[in-house]
Amino acid sequence: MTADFLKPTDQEIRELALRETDPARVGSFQPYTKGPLVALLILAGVGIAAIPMTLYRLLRRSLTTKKSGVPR
Amino acid sequence: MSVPDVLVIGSGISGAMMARGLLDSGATVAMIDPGADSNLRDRVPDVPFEVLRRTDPHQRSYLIGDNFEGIPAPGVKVGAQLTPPRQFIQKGADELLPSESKTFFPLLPVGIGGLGAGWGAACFTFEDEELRRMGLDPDELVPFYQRAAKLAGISADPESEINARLWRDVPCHQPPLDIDDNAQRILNRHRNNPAALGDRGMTLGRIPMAILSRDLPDQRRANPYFDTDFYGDVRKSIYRPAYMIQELRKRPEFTYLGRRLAIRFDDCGGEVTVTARNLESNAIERHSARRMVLCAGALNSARLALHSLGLKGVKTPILCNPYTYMPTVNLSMLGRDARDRRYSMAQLGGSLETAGAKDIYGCFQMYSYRSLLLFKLVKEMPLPPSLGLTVARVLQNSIAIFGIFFADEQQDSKFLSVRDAGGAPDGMPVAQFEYRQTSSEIQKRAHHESIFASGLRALRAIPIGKIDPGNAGSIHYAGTIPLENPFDQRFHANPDSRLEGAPNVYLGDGAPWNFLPAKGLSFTLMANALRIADRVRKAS
Repeated sequence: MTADFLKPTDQEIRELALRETDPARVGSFQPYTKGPLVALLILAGVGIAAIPMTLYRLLRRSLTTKKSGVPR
Repeated sequence: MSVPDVLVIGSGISGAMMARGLLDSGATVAMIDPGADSNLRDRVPDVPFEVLRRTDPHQRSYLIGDNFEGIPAPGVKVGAQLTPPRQFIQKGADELLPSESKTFFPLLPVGIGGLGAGWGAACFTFEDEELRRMGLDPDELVPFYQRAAKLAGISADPESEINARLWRDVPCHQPPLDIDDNAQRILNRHRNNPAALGDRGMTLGRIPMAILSRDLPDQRRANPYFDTDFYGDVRKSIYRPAYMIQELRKRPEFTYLGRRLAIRFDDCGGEVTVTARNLESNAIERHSARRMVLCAGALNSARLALHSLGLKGVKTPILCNPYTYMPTVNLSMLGRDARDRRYSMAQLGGSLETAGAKDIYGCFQMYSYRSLLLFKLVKEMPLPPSLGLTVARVLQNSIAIFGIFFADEQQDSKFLSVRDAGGAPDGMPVAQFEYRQTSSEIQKRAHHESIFASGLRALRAIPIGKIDPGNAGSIHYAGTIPLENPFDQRFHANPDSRLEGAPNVYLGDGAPWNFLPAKGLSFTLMANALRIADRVRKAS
């Protein structure tokens, strides 16, 4: 199964890569190490948040022209 | 230098050892090599990865590249693992080594050290039966494993569980490297219940690595556990052919003809003449020697040989280990801290026997994930970037990536041929590749992937995906000038390692092998190159 259309865009990944290699922002890319229970809670939270956020992204993308990248 | 005794074509794993073996036996040697290089790795400070991340304002240049070349383009599979400081390996290869295919997209090296510049450094020895299937005499080859280990610098665990099948007859020269927390927990679980893997025909343990755990007397030093190995290697702790060549260049008997691309050779009158393009001046040059050894890598050695013998359109086999990545989440590391002190390369490895038989069909290596950065994980997640990053941060310390190689054998559907490029008479011919696994091979592979995945689950390393990097993804190429060529009787290697039809041309890489075992081939390439060097010298 592929869900490529849900994956981040190239531009989003470039921006993320730039942030990740900014020495001032390294703290935002450190692993969470508060134990397995907290890890599972965070993953559950991500699962819940993913539904509305993904819908919003899809809606936003559908309103964006491929040519200009500007919302209609 | 006057006419050297031997011309070596290529500077990779085989070429560097070949040159070393020949020089040690008293021969004069010249090496022809495209020799591209990069100074990007010199920008990587000799500090732990976490310190580097917090302090180096120039880290982008080598972590992701000034032009984002460290971010794999969509659809790019082979070579995607090359970080910017290692991308010189293939930079310009499309123009210099033209190829055509719809099924096989190999990594063709033009950098100094060849594919050895990107080698993962895991070392394995082949079993007698495997060597015989390849067309090699175990009694002749095995002694050269020892010499290769001494020259490369190997760290290994003499008590490792994998030694019985993957490492033999090679006394250890250095103590094993320390493995990271992720690997240690997986190994502990295996040791508590070895039958979980044993019943599935699997082994697991620390594997020999061509990485120093102690300083050598020369310029190479022990790995500092800085986890920067994918980017730089100030201490030269990982064996790279380029380091060997750097040392050889100090000897007057050795000439390195860099920035030259061998295009064809002519073997006549007791002398071999190589036609090469000078990549700086674009001039055509000719270099002669009494003998020549092809160490250009199996694919390019075959391209050169077919072109030189005038065998356009003649098919010859390709061997390439099928390869599968299996990212897993090691549940015992989920949400836990991990020591920063670690090296980046494979931490563990093992083998997978053919179902119902005792021969090895698969061989795997396990990597932890950190220094390749989180954005590459986020890129593959079907989530908004902010959520993907959160997931990546949760999973980071627990991700264990298993890469499994499978054995490969000759098939009618796996071959290469060459055609003229047209244009200049001294142009590089185009290599045409075709590689399709048979349906029975595909089924066998899928069956063993499933056994492998169940073994990982028994270790509580839960597979979260299965990635096929494509037919050429293992970057293990061999068998292109085999001892037995099923396609055309005119094109093959002779038992004495010479190319049929060219008595002064030897084959020093994996081109003559009839079969490719599942294990990584680099260490055997080194031993084999030393063996051929010995033969060349004796024949002289």
